[in-house]
Amino acid sequence: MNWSIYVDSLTAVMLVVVNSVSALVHIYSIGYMSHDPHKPRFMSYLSLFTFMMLSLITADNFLQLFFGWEGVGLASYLLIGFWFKKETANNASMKAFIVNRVGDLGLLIAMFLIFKTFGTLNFSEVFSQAADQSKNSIKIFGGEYNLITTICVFLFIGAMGKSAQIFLHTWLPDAMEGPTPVSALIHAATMVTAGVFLVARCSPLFEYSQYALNLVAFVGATTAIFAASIAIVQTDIKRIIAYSTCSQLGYMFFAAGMGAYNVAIFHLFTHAFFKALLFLGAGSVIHAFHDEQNIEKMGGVWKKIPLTYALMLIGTLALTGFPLLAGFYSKDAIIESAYFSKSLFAGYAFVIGLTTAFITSIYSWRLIFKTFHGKYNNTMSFEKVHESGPVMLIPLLLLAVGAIFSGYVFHGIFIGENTQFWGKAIFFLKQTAHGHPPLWLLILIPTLVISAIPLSFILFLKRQDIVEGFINNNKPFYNFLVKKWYFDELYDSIFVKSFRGIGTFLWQRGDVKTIDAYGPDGVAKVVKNLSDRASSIQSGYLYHYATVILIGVVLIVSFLIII
Amino acid sequence: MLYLILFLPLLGSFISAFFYKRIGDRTCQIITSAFIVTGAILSSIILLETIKTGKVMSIQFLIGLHLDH
Repeated sequence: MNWSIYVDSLTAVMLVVVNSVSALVHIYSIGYMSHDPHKPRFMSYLSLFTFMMLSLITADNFLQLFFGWEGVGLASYLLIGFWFKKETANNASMKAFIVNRVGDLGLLIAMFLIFKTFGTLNFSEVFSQAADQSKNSIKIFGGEYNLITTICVFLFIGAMGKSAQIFLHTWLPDAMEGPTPVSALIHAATMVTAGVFLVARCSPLFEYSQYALNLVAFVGATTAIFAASIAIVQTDIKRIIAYSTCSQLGYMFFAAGMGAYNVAIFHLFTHAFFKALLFLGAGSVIHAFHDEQNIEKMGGVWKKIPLTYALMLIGTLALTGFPLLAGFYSKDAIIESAYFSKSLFAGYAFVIGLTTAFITSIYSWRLIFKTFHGKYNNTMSFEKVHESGPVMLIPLLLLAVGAIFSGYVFHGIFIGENTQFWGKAIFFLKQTAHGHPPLWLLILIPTLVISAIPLSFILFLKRQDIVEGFINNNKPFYNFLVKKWYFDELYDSIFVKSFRGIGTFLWQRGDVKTIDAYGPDGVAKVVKNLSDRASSIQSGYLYHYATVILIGVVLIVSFLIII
Repeated sequence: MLYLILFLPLLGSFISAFFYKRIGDRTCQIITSAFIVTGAILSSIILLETIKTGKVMSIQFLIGLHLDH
C-alpha cells in the first residue's frame, strides 16, 4: 500500500476549495485572534487540519482516505475545544468527536467489507470490479443482502456523520463554540463536505445500488428541510448559519441521490465561498459587538459597519439563490435534477427542494434584518460598535468575489450539458436526465427566493406583532422548532443517560466496590487492621509485657513437657 | 508542485507548534498563512490545467505498509 497524491478533476476542484478557503481563513485569523495569547497553537491546528483534509482528498485508496478522515476529526476536536477553559467548548468538542466516531464506524465496516470481498482498498481496482460484484450478495446475521448495497449504506453512514445529516447532525450546531474562523473553515466549507466528496468519489459503487441512492436522496432531502425549519427560529447568529450549512449539505446529498454527483460537487464548490463569507462576516459582526452572538441584541448598525453589511448581503443573496449569483446556478441545478429524475424520491426531493429554498431565503433575511436593521438593542454603547480591520475584511472581499462569480464562471464547465470535465472522476451508469426545464419552474424558483425579501422585511422588521401572535397561538410547534425537534433531549434520554448509568454502575460497583475493595484497597485495609492490632499490644505498661512473657513461658514449658 | 501543496501545511503546522518560542507569534502567523496561500495558488494552477487538458496526475511513494488478503 503506497501513500499517494492523486489529482483528477474531482480532487482538483476540492484542492481549490480547501486551499483557497483555508488561506483566507488563515489570514482572517491574524486579525480575529489578535488578542488571544495562544496564536501559534491556533495557527498550528489550522494548518494541521488543512494537511489532513488534503490527505483525504488526494487519496487513491480507502486507507489513506480514512487517515485523512480521522485526521480532520482530530483537528476539528482540537479546534472546537481551542478555548479549553470554557466548559461548553470542552463539551462541544467531545460531542463532535463522539458523534463522528459513530459515523466512522460505518466507514470502517464498509472498508472491511470492501477489503474482504474485493481484496484491495485501491479505488481504481475496487471500482473496476464493481460491475462484476453488483450481483453478489453477503450474509450478515443470517440475512442475505446485496454486497454493493451493503457497502454503500455503510459508506453513507460514514458520510452522514461527517456531513452532519439528520440523526448524526447534533454535533454541528454545538461545534460553534469554537472560534469563528474554525466554523468557517471546518464546519462550513471543507470538513463537512467530506461526506459529499466520499459519495461522489464512490459513484462507481453507488451507481450499482439504487437502494443506496434512494437512501442518500431521502436523508439529504429530509435534512435540508429539517435543518432549515430549525434555523428559522434560532437567535444565535452562528447557529443559524450552522443549521443553514446542515440544510445545504442536505441539498448536496439529494443531488447525489438523484445521480447528479457533478451538480452536488458544483453546489459544494459555490457553497464553500458564500458560506465561508457568511461565517467570517458573522465573525466580523461578533467582533463589532464585542462578542455578542444573539441577533435579538443587535440591530440598527448597518451604517456603522457598512463593509461587513455589504459583504454579508452578498453572502445572503448568493446563499438564497438570487439570480446570477453563485447559489442561483447550483441550487437551481439541484432542484432541476430532482425534477428530471425518475428516482423513487424524486418528487419528495423536488417539493422539499422548492420549500427549503423559500425557507432558506426567509431565515437568511431574518438574520440580516435583525442584525443590521431596526432598533439598536444592545446594552453596549452604540459608539463602541466598530468596523473590523483590513486584515479581516480583505479575505471577506475575496470570498465575496467567489460568491458572486463562481457560479457564473464555472457552471458551464461543471454541469454543462456536454461537459467533458469530469472524465473518469465521476461515474454515471446511466446518463442523468437533461433537458430544458419548463418556463414555470424557471420563474418559480427566483420568485420564491425574491418574494421572501419583502415578506421577511414585514415579518421581522415592520410588523413583528404578526410573528409574536403566531408564536403565541402555536406555542408547542414553536417550542418544537426552538428545541431542535427534541433530538438532543431524545439522545440524552436514550443514549447519554443510559450509557452514563452503565458507566456509573461499572465505576461504583465494578471498580470501586469490587476490584478496589478486594484488590489494593482491601489488602491495604487488612494490613492496616493487623498493624493496628499489633500496635495496640504495645501498651507501654510493664505488667502487660510481664503477663505476656509469663503466658509465653507457660505455653513453651507446657509444650516441652507434653512432647 | 503536488508535494508542495500537500506538505507545506504540515511543515507550517510543525514550525508553528515547535518553534514558536524562537520565532515569535507574528512569524508563526505569517509562515503558516504564506504556506497555505502558496498552496492555494498552486491548486488554482492545477484546476486550470485540469480544465484545459483533462489530465490526471498521480504520485506514489512507498511507506512500507503491506496489506495481505
